[in-house]
Amino acid sequence: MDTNNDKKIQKIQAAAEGIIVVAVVLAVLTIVGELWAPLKNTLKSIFTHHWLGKSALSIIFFAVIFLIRSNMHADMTKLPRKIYAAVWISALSAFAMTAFFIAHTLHLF
Amino acid sequence: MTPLLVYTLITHVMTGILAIGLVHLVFMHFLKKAPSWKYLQALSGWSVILFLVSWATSAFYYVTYYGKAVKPKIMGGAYPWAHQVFMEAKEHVFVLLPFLTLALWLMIRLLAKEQDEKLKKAAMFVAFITLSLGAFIALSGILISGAVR
Repeated sequence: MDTNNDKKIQKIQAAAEGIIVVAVVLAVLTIVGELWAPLKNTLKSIFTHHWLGKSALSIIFFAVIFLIRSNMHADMTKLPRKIYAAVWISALSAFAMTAFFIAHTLHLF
Repeated sequence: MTPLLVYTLITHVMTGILAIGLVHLVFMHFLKKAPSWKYLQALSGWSVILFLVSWATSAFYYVTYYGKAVKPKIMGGAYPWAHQVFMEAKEHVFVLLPFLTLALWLMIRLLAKEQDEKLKKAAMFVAFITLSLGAFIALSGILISGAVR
């Protein structure tokens, strides 16, 4: 495999890891922010709106992880597993947030 | 609603739907034995750009207008759950889509240079989940629009 492809593998791995972090951070900020007002208020006071805060933090977390990890060693044989992990965690994050808002609307907590 | 907000909302909806449509095309082409990687690279690249435009325009519309003018109407109407469940879920789940399509584009760039069946299947899965989340978001948007009336 040539060096150019190695760089591409590193970038894909870095993106997968960035997605995992974003999916977790987004779900935590969203759910905890609804249950614990100081978190949502802090996001509002820094970013003017809680959703803008979550958006900005997602971009920052992804960019930092992508920049750090895209120069580190990546193994092609382990790459698909990391991609599947990123996609499953994203799906789980989406499901958790949706389920939370349903439960919250029904006053379950 | 000012003309700027109208155009912003139209741009948000159109670019979002177009981006989802392009991811759908990518997914369908993955089913081919020998897809055109250059073509898929262009489609996925454009879907990243369109999702980013949709994100930026939604931010402007949501922060400057929706919260003040639309949300109170929905919350005071017959279907407050349209905001409480679908808008809340939609606005947060959407944030994942530009990152997933960026990963998809990066994977297609590698597949164009090196054929790998396992990587192709993983990329197909990325496209499928992105498409599923995108469809959920688009349907939520339709439901929210209906709840305002």
